Amino acid sequence: MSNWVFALGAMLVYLAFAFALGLLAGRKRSFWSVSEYAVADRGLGFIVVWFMMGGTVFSAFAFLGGPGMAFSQGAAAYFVPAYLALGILPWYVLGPKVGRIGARKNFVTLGEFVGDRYRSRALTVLIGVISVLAFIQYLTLQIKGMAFIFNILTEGAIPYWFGALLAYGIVVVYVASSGVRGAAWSDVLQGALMLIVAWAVGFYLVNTLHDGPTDMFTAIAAERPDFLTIGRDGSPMSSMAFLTVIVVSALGFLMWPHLFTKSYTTTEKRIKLTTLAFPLFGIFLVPVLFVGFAGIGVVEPDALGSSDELLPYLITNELGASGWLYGLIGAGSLAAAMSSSDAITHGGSVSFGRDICRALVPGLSERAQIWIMRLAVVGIGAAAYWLSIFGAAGIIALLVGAYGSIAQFVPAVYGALIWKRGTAAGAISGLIVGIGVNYYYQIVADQTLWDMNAGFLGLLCNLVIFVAVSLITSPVDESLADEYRNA
Amino acid sequence: MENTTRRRKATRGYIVFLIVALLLMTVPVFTFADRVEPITLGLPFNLFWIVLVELAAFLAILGFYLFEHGGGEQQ
Repeated sequence: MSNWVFALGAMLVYLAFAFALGLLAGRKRSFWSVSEYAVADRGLGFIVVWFMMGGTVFSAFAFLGGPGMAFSQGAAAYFVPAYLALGILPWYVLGPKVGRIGARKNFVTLGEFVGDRYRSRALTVLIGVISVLAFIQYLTLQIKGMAFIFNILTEGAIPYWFGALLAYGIVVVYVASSGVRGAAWSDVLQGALMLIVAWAVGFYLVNTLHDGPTDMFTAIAAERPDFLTIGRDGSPMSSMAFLTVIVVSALGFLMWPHLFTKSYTTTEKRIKLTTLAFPLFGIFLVPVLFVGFAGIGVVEPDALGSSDELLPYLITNELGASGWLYGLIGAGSLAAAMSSSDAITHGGSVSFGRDICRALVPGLSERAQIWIMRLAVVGIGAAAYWLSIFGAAGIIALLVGAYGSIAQFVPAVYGALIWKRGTAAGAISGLIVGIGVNYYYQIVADQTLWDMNAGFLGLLCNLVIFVAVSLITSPVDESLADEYRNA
Repeated sequence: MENTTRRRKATRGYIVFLIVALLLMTVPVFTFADRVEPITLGLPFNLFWIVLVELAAFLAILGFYLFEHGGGEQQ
């Protein structure tokens, strides 16, 4: 049997399992409850939360982007294990507070949380719109990853459009039917699978293409001395860029609504135990970077269309790989892409239903909201699928801008928890300025100030405007502000 | 009441821990660890340093968790 048939078989078996598990997860749960659909009635168990957070965070980027980054930018890729761990750490304090407020006030989104604290529906809608656009961009990246994996591992037998439709179609169906539980339970399977695959592949490649990691790193360092360091003359990344990208990630990562709202799905203890696991998750990612380093000196950079193609290229060209390896990698990378897509699609549907529709039409019945959310899964899914297969340059620039803007929620969210003077005018103007600055440096300008991260510059301006405007506008009720600060 | 004081104290300590972890993993402290040699456990020293800080972070959070919830007497 040729390798690609084996790969296709393994991927189909995996897809069937993920599909069944996702559908079964919603069994015997109330189909008509917003709280069940959005936050699993605030009662998910510890193992599920752990894998859900891990699987969600560990996306197609880990299998394609991470190795690509190590291959082309060396030590710059170290920020991946660093930001993954640091990005979740604030959840230990943030999560339980948000969870308590959410349970008391019956919130299921980030927009509702911020909108209630600042007494502003406009703010809720603004956050909803940015979130949905950013989610579509995030999804587009994942869908491209799935399509790519399918196409290359089946040696072109499954066309680009069909692989994406098959893998992502399954996600859409189980998210629409089972809500957050569908996403969470399938993440348990996907998370376990991709961890095993990541380690197996990382060590396999290092030992096949080189004589183990020590030998590999010594060879790279001898060839290009500064490639494996940060901030030297020949380094791929300056110290300032490294510092600011990690700061933005550490503060802004939890501002992704699909992660933030997981605070509502479980208890304080489980949030804390999940945070505990994340530094280990950062360590789990190190062998994934090995894949990229293993390609150095073996693969000519010109042989790749983009550095993201490194892993599939290594498998198909450099190793007379067995069908088993093909299948394993196919299933593992699909798992990584799908476990993020389900949470993002779900998050997008909830943001759309609550932050946009319900905020604009306050009297919406629960049943109508449920319908809107479940249909939004299909709508957002179709939009992302269309964009990832056919693209559209103008829309893509807009989406990239939204994607980079998520971290700009930081002043409003953390401000709600620590500062009683924060106001809606401050939060909205800060957000708009932050997004503008980020957009300018990310998309328009060639260079940023002092090589700082675009999001970081946006955040600085955002914070200054948030504080200044808040101080000259009248504050919200003190009892409301205190309710948030003392939660 | 004792529960809340404990929580406040832990929250303050945790924020200090977050800042320390950030400094250890980025500039300025990371700069001192930022070299390839000695290759430790197969990793360049700077990557090994990040792994080490993450292990320490794991232990620190475990400490916080036990401090807050370890006694079993609180919920």
